[in-house]
Amino acid sequence: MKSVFVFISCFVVSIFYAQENKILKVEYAEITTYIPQIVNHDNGLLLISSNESYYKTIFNRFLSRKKMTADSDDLIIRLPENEKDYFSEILINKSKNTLTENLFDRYAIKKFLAVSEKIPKMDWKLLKGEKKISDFLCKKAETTFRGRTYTVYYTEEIPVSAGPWKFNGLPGLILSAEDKEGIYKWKVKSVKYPYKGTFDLSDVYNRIKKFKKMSYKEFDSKRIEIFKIKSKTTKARSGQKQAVFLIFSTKQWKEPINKWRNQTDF
Amino acid sequence: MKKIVLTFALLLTVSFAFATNKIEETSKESKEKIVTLLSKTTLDKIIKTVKYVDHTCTYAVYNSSGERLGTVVMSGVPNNVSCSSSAAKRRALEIWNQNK
Repeated sequence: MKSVFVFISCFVVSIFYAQENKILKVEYAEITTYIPQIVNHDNGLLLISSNESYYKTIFNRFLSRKKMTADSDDLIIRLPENEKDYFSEILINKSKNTLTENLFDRYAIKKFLAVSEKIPKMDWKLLKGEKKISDFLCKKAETTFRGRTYTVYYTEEIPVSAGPWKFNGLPGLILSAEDKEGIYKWKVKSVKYPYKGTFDLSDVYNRIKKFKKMSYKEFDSKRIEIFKIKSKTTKARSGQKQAVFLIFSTKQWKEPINKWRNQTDF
Repeated sequence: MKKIVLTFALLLTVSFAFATNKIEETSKESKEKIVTLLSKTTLDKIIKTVKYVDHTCTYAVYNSSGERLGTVVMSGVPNNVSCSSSAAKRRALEIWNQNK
């Protein structure tokens, strides 16, 4: 009965939001920790209108990073990064049921791409436990999506089915999210409604036109194919006396597996 | 006279026979010992040589965000080149960059 009430209230408020066509602006802190010694601090910007939601990661990890120092572990090779290789923005169109991510694939393809898929379905498990985040009462939920288990806190006080990155499908805005391994974290920094600024997505649509288009399935298989080729080429080049192998892994990716692929090492 | 000559000849033949047998026995034993000794030494040498010739170095490749990009495994690295030496690391990096 309670869930029916929540659903009806969400529906009514969604219609209200839609009619008003006001913009909701949410800012997040994105924290990525691949290894404990390095914590990457980036920002996330979420803008939501009645039909579209837009999420952009602002990679400012390079601003706060200290100069690379020598590694204590001798069997580690650390490579410098190019700031320009970091680009990600996600556009969700509810009426068309599409999610397009404009990105630069720094792992394999090394190109700007517009990767499209249907809005991915996330199966949520509602858990016991509430807490206040930025004065909003939040409820706990969990999902396993493409090989990673996330625990999130969402608030029904802002009844929009959205959140940072690709998160969707809960009866309220996601204010914090964290994956079980502790690599990926999002924490809300500010919520503004109605947002008085502009919500012009023409640049985003221009980039979708400009970047090489591919489906998520094509994108994933292309990347894996490149890894497999790299790995095979190295083996082929190996001489009789010395053999060289390159091993690639998707374990640290946000989406280490998907419905087409379970393997993580290549 | 005939008897003396025959006895002498018999004695001589028997002594030769005994003498030959004795020599053969000694020689066989020594040969076996040498063969055994050689085999062991050679085997030890081979084992030592194999151990000495090469080893495998495995390197984890990270970017400056701490993200693991992959692993380089180099086998056949001369034993006198340590995996942590700059020469070995430089070679691993070359291999990585060639396959970027």
